[in-house]
Amino acid sequence: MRMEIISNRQGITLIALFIMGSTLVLGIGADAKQDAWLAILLAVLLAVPMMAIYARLLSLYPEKNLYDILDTVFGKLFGRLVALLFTWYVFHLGAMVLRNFQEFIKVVAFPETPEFVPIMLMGILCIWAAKEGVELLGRWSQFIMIILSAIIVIVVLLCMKDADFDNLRPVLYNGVGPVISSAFGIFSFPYAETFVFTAVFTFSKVRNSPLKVYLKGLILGTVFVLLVSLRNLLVLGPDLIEQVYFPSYAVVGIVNIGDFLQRIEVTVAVVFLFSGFAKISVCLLAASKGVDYIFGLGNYRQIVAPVGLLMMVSSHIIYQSIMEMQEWAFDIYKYYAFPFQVLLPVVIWIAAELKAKRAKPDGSVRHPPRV
Amino acid sequence: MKRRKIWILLLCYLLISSVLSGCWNYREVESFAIISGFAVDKKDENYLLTFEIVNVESGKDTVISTKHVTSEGTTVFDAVRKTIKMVGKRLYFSHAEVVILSKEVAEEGIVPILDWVARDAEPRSTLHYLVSKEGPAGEILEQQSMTSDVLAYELSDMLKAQRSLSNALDTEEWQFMRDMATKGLSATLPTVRLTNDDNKVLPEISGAAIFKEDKLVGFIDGEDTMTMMFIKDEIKGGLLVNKEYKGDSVTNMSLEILTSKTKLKPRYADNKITMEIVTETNVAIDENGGRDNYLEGEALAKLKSDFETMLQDNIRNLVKSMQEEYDCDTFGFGRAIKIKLPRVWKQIEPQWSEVYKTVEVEVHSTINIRNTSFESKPVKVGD
Repeated sequence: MRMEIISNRQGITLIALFIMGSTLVLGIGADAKQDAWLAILLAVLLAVPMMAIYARLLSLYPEKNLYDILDTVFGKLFGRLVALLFTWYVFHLGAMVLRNFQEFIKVVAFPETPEFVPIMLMGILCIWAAKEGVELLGRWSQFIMIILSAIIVIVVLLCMKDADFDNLRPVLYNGVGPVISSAFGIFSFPYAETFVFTAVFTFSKVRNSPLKVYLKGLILGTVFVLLVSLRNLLVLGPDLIEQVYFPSYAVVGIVNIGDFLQRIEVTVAVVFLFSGFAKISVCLLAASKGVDYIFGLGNYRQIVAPVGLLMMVSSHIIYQSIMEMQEWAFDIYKYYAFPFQVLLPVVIWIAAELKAKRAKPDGSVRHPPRV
Repeated sequence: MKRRKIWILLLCYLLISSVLSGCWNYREVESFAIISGFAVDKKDENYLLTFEIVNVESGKDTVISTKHVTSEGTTVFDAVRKTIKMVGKRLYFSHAEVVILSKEVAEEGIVPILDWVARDAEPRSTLHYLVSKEGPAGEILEQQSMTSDVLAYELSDMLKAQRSLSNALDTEEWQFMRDMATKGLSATLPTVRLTNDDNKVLPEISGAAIFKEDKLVGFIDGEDTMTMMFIKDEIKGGLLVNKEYKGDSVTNMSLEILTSKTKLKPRYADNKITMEIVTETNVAIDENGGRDNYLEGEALAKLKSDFETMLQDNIRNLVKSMQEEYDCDTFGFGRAIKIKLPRVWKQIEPQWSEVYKTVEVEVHSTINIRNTSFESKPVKVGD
């Protein structure tokens, strides 16, 4: 079994891409109106302690991922039960992102293409990537991040011609209530979803610092999320943003520099394609590792393809329509995800801390051999 | 072993490139009817849509010609799809640039048209909207074009060129939708009508259609539109003209606007809202058509203050007529109050349309004359 250890920088870019994932194209914080940027900042503040917990888990048990930790902390049976819950969550998350991708393609580009075609193409690529493991995703993300950040920054600059700073004012017109409730939504989508990485990353004690990777990834991802959200707000204004499914796409469609530089919506699709690919692959990887652990298969690679295919199928059946997807993503998801993003990690963390403390007097923690 | 791998790879390449390339629904250019613009009229209860279809015939020389088709339907999309009966191809809207609405359609409410055009994925949100001031909208689209091959594109060029005339405010679909959605701001669209020019009928874009919510309530002419653009801080160019500028004799004076900046500063005192409109305009004297010299000294100062007064009067009059005749907050006073005085706006928002009529206006216009163009003196006339 190869060790799957990635460098700090790769971890950071992968987390940043994951955060950007479907966020950039679906848009976040619409219910906070012109204060969406404040809601995002508030959500980041909420996310920092949560991420510290995720990172603490990883640094308590270096060279182990979430499932190994569950095994050590809760034992074979109960650990598997918790892993089952978590595996369901990442599997579902991956299916949702896949569906976001498919709905986006269907609405903006290929209305007549059967749904399974884009899902199949994307899904097979993700299966391949997940099969190659997290090192490949890490290297790939480090490389693609440069291209994506260049695209995003250039497009944001091009949009500035139509920006109207009055769209941001008056600040806090409706009070802090909507900002806080919207921040809660943004916290669960996308920030706290990064819990998935505890199942994917295995950090070596010497080379990596999980907390640094998490926080830097958070900052990098937030910079782009904030940049894009502000751009959408400045150009479209809070009222129109609520009216469209994909605000970024609508904004970029407006760009027209001297009748020459126009119709550059494809940039939005490219950014979504790549960051969505990262998000789906990470979810698939985490889900496969979960299945591997639950059934004691010994190697997650052989289960990636079946899990991926299942994910593709379930992405097709989780929603009837894009309206349902929208309702789920912005109204229901935050409550559904809360136990998986906050309760479960906190319980695991407390148990892990206790276990580690108890184990200390005897010298070292005894880990079962890696499977 | 290695050879077999290469063969398998080659097979994959061939399969992928032949099976997966291109779109699912592969369509040739010839199978579309490309729409450059369309006009919406009402006929009884139905919508009557006129489309301008662009035909590109390639050969030795590319020939671009246009054809027109009119179709009737109960809803907008119904009318669009029914063109298939006549054209035999599906209309393709991604290259459409102009939508002309007739007065009747706009008076009934623009939402039914706007919704389909915005909702359908093909038309772009950068479409330019126009309101036909008199006569059916379809008739305008059926005229011969002057400078380009396609009339709709010519109309769109005319709108874009308005930045150096400022007699109409070019409004793209998304801007109109944004303004319409904004509280404390009434949207406007530019207007178009047909004029006769030596037995040739030409469309002319000038003036603005005033909307209250989504319904047309009136028109203002080109000069008032320019004043409106001053208040809305949309001036990017244009002329300030005074034809009978009287010193000792009549002199034509034209100032060309270089840049202009307007600020709306609402004040609230004693239950009364005062809107201070501050404009600062940089201009160049581009015409001193007479013997008197207004280019230096006291005459220049007088010229400056006269034009300032003129602009201030125009603004005051327009605001007054908007408040009294149309009852439309076209200038976004409400929005300015919301931004600058959010607490006051919270109180007055429910009664805004009544409060709006009582808003007092204070205008301060500054005109900075930056240069006198190429000539430093009036044209010299000796004997």
